[in-house]
Amino acid sequence: MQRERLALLGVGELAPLLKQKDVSPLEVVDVFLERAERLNGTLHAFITVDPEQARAEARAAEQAIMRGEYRGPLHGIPVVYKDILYTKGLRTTAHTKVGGYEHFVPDYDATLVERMKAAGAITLAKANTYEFAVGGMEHYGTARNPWNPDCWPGGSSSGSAVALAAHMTTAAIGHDTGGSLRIPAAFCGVVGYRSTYGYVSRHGYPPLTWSKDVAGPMTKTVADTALIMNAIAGHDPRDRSTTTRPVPDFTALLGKDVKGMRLGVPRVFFYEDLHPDVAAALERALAEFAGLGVELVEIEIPHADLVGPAAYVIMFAEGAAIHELELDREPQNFGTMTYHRLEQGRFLTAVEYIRAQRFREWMIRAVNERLAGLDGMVMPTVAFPAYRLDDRVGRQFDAPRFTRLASFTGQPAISIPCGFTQEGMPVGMMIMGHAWQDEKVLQLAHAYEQAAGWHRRVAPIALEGAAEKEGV
Amino acid sequence: MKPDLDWMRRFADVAGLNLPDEDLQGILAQIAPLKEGMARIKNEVDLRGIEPPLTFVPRGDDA
Repeated sequence: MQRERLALLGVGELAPLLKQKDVSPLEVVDVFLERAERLNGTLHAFITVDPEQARAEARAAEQAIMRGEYRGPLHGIPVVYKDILYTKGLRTTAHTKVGGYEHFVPDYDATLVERMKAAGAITLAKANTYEFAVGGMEHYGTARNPWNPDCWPGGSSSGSAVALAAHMTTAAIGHDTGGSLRIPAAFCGVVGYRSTYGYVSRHGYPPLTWSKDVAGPMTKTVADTALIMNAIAGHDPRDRSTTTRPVPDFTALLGKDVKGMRLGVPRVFFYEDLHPDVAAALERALAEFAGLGVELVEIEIPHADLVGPAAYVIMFAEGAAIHELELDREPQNFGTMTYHRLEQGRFLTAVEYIRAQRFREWMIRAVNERLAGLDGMVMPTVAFPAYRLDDRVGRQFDAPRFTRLASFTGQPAISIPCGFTQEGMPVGMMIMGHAWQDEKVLQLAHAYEQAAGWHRRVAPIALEGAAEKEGV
Repeated sequence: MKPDLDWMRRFADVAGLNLPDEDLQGILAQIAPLKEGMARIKNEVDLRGIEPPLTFVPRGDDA
């Protein structure tokens, strides 16, 4: 196989090659390090790359596999982590200069990272993100969309999505408070998955919102997401929000027939004011689901337009509480957008915060009532495609219009590619399901993905250089 | 309730936040729609009998 072709593979395709010793982890890591050299100056996907550490981990994986100690489908797989997740011995900036993060080298791994390493994954790089996952990208470069570098990649797990779409990694980890796994996935044409709140430990990264933060996989395929969930999900005594229920096999329903399954279509609010190419892509996707035998049922989520303000009240009240000392002591070290977004939390009242939490409880009941008898609901991930970098500020606040709901209710939601605009920018579709029924969400997403095939398209920039080198 | 710059100044004073008008303006632009939305929830959604979640875990193990 041509070396550069290795970069295009997902976990499910690369793992057998590593297991059979057809390819060595070191060879794969070297391909990605070369691609980082070539592409990161343009795309700013990564804040920190440590080639020596990556090669050392790859060598260790190679030796273990050669000894016959293959650990499973993540063994030898390169992964990048959103740069809020603590990585032992590797700088973690949270894209900020506040609190000494600029030079912060953790002496322990986040639980999620620890579990990925235990499964044999190799840490390739730390991926760009909004400052503290909430503000701008003012300190370490602005990540750019591989489908058009003049466009925004979405956020806050920007670098993770960019790296996947540019095939600068095999898999990535991001984090989502109001849509940060799913929005960049939609804008960059990859998969972003927010699991049910409580499956994945929050231990080992600076929180943005205790009650909504979920870290998780961003991948090239739905099956890859399921493989990573199998490695990272489960109770963590260091995070009291994690569930003690048994962890399912997230791959269990992949490939099972979806005929007869039922999806809600919330036309009101979630299909309104869409970019025409997004609307057209969603209608084609609904037809595809119907062709697969999925029954589509129109539903309405009441007061969906009020989730936005309530979700932001919770996010910024908790965010301001988390960062209160830094806001007092070193406001000058925050980027302007980050500072204003967090500081506004101190202008909210306790009554408003509690009202937002009561509305959250109300909304959980309302959504569960509407989903009764259904396997989930389907909607656009974002109302519009990736926009130009100079049009960022207003759009950034509007991008989570649909993604906030799952963050608010704690339910699982996945964004998968469902087409492209006439300008060639990806469009994302979101499937949201019942809490603790993540396998069904993945089953539906996988069935659509395999039928539609949008995940097979490659951003032109990912082939530049490689084409010259190897005639790809 | 729709906050304006004067409201922001008074709130900052009471809360002991020493912020210049430039920052108050930037924060106001973001918080005004939140305050309006929260007022709508108070007036339009029947929250009687609804308690907030007892913990930060939205649904935890009893979802």
